[in-house]
Order: sequence, then structure tokens, then C-alpha cells
Amino acid sequence: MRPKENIEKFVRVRKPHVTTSRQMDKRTLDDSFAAMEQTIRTKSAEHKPSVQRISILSRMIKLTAAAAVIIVTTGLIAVFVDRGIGEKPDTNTVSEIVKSPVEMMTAMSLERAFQRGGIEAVEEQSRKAFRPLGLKPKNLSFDQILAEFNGNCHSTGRTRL
Amino acid sequence: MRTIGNKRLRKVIYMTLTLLVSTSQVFAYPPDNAAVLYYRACQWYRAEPDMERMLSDLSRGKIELNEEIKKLVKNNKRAIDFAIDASGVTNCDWGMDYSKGMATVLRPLHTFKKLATLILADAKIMAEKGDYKSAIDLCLSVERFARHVNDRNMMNYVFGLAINKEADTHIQDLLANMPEDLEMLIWLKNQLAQIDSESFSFKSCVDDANEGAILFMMKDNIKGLLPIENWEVPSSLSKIAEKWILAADEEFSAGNRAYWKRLIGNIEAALDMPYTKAYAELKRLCEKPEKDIIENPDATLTTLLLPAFDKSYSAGIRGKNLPNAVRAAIEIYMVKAKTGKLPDALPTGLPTDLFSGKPFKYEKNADGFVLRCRGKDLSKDKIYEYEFKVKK
Repeated sequence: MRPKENIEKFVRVRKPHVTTSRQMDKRTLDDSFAAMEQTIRTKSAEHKPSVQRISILSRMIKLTAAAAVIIVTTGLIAVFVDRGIGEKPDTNTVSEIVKSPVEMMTAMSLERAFQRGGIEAVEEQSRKAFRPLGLKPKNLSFDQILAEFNGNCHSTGRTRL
Repeated sequence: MRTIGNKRLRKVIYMTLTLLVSTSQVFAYPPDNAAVLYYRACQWYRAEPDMERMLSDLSRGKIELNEEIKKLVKNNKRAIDFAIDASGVTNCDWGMDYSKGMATVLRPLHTFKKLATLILADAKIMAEKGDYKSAIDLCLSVERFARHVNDRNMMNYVFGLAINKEADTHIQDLLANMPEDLEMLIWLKNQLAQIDSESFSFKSCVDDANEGAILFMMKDNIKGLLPIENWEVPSSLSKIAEKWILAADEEFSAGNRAYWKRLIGNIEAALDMPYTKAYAELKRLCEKPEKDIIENPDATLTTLLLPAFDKSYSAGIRGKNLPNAVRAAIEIYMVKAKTGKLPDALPTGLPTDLFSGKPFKYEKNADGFVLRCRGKDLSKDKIYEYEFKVKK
């Protein structure tokens, strides 16, 4: 007979002669908590990293932090160099980006660029308008080609002249 | 019998016509339109951004001619040849649809300027070889090119003048370094006089802006000015302008056209004034619509469509003043070639300083002479002086 059935039979046939009281319950609970605490302590002691491991871990953290600092600094320098240190951000950039190459090359748009920054600004806008941007898709539909010729770059998802 | 004869005659006529058409196609170079060749030159022009920067530095005198630039010129020989051939053609029709007014899509102006810089680098190479005649010839080609670029529109005018000014800066350098040669100086003077017969006219730019703006001010076209952000006016004004445009009717259109015409009339009148007065008046007139729009809806469309006439007018005077100095200097070099020494005073009847309307102030120095402006460029707050060296 298996032990589970033995216990069931024991409970069924003979009631265990155990007298329960508040003291007994408390003692049982205290013993259980003490045993549990002991178990936890033992386990955590088993998982405690060695000195060598701590050292490797802290070196890795330091390296990661240094790499992160370098990346962020490089990024910031690149942004400042590109914009020109001390220069205010160009508030007109948004409108330039929104415009398609054809829109950028209209007489009025170039005239506005001239008002902003003289002949250099016109030159820059003209250069931007004729500079191929983005990746060329493998296939273009007839509608997309027409849209592009009409200066609607948004419909093709790219800007290329 | 008669039918056979007719057939023969027809055959002969067809064959003659075919022969005439095909031969005219074979020998039709250069074509009768310079623009075709300029476009081809743009098509063949190749330069990395680094090299373009180097070319600009060379043009501004920041660096000397080097092997990389020589290589770039060599690699772009085809583009240069097309542009030079084009400059020799009188007729130049760029195929622009100016009926669209300010919405007209312009040409790749930056490429034209780079192309001119490239030709002038070639002129420097020629000068280095001692072939000053070819070097000057290349500069003159660029001056003709500049006149082709200047075509109705304000931006074409500004770029044309910038290209012309660059060519004159190179002529200024060549005059300083070339051996004294009276014959060549006379030839240069005559060539320039011929080129100058086609002048850069600011008034034609005003006329073009006028036609373009009136087109937008017709009632049916007014809504086409939206979205208002395209016009890059201050946000406080753009809200007012948008409100008026959305409510535009025939009365609004007529009122705006009348306001514009009055302003353009005043601008044209200002162009006949001496530089100082003209610039002040143009500046006042260009700022007027932005002040008026708050109270007067008739100023709405002028606020959006008025070009920066004050700035481009000043850029125009600046662009024409160096050529004037170069032409005056050629006369002084000619005196030197004839007499063996620089004149003590400026000869009379020479091109004047456009900022003051008076002759340049002439001063001799150890290296040659200086032509100094008597008037100030008010848009840059600067008085220019042009230095001409004389080869010892």
C-alpha cells in the first residue's frame, strides 16, 4: 500500500490523539517560521557572489557607463558642429523640410530665401532641391511618377529630382 | 508619260528636301538656343561637395591653384566646353513658364554659379601657363554667361550679377599679373564694351514681379495663396492675412490690386533717384505693407507677395560697381602701357562709383593703385575699395 493511502486509512480508522491548544498552535507556527527563515538564509548565502565576480561586474558597469558617456558626448558634438556652436536653431528649417524640391525652386520660395540669408541662402536652397534624398524604391507606379513630376514628394515617400 | 514625269519630279523634290533637312541637322552645332547647351553643361558637371568648397575658396582667393582643382577642371572639360559654346550664342530661351508668376519653377541656379567658378578656375590655369589671352577669353565667356542667366526674374538677376562680379574679380587678378600689353588691353576694353551693351536691368525685374503678383491677386487665384505658412511672414501677420484671404471677394481683390499698383509705382519712381535716396525709399516702401495690413485689408496680398526690392536693389548696385571699377582700371592700365607710368589723377569720363554717383577716388600706392568708393553700401554699412596691382 502506498503511503498516501496509509495516511488516509489512519485518519479514517483512528483519529489522531492530539490535543490542540493556543500554546500548541503558537509553538507550531514559531517553529515553522524559524525553519523558513533558516532556509532563506542558507539559500541567500549560497547565491552570494564572490569578490572576483563583484569586481568583474563593477568593471563591466563602468565600461558600459563610459561607453554611454562617449556616445552621448559624440552625438552632442556632432549636433553642435553641424549647427554651428552658439548659433540659434533655424526656425525656418521646418518650412524648408515640408516643401518639396519643386516648391523650393519656385521664384517666390527662392526670393524668401534671399530675404532670409542673401545669395548664399538661395544657393543652399537650390542645392537642397536638386540633391537626391532617401532611397530609391525598386518600382514606381505611373501615378507616383506623375506626382513626383508635379512636385508632390509625399505621395511617393521620397524626394528626388 | 505625264504621270511618270510627275513622279520623277516628286521624287527629286523629296530627295532634295530630305538632304537639306538631314544636312542642317548634322551641322546644327551650336544650336540657335544657348540654354540647350547650358542645360547640357549642367548635365555633365560633376564635383564632390569638398571639391566645390575648394573651388569657392579658390575663387575667393583663400587658396591657390592646386593639382586637385586642375584635375577637377580636366574631368569637367566637356561641361566647360558646352558652357563656353553656349556663351557665344546670342539667343537664350530657358523654356521657363513665366505665366505662373511667382510660382514659376526656376533653374538650378547654384549649378550655374559653380559652372562659372569652374570656367574661371580654367582661366587661372591658362594664366599660370602664361596664356593670358585665353584666360581673359574665358572670363569674357563667363560675363556673357552671366547675361544669359539674368532673365526677367529677380533671382536670375541677382545670380547673373554675382556670376558677372566673379568674372570681373578674375579679370582684376589677370590685369595685375599679365605683362603690359596695350594691344590686349584695347581688345579687352572693346570686348567688354560689346558685352556691356546688354545691361542688367533692375526695372525689368520689378516688371516681372508686378505681372506675377497681379496674377495671384485675381479673385479666382487668391485662395491659391494658402497655406499661408508658405509665405514665411511673421505669425502675427499670417493670422490676419489668412483671415482676409479666406473671406476674399471681388472687392478685396480689386482693393489689393490697387494697393499693389500704387506701391509698385512708388518703387519705380524710387529707382530713378540717386542710390542713397533710392535705398531709403525702397526700404520704407518694402516695410509699409506689414504696417498697413493690421488696419487695411487691401495691404494683405502685397504683404505676402512683395519681394525684398531694397535688398536686391543693393545687391544689384554692389554687383555692378566692381565691373565699373574694372573698366575704369583698364583705362588706367592703358595710360600706364602708353606712357610707362600711372596717371597722377583719374582720367575723366570713366565709369563711376554707383553708390555715390561720382567718379571713384583714385589713389596710387607702392603696388599699383586703388579705386575707392565715395558712397556707402547702406545694406551692408560698408565702403568698398578695389585694389589694382601693377606688374613691376
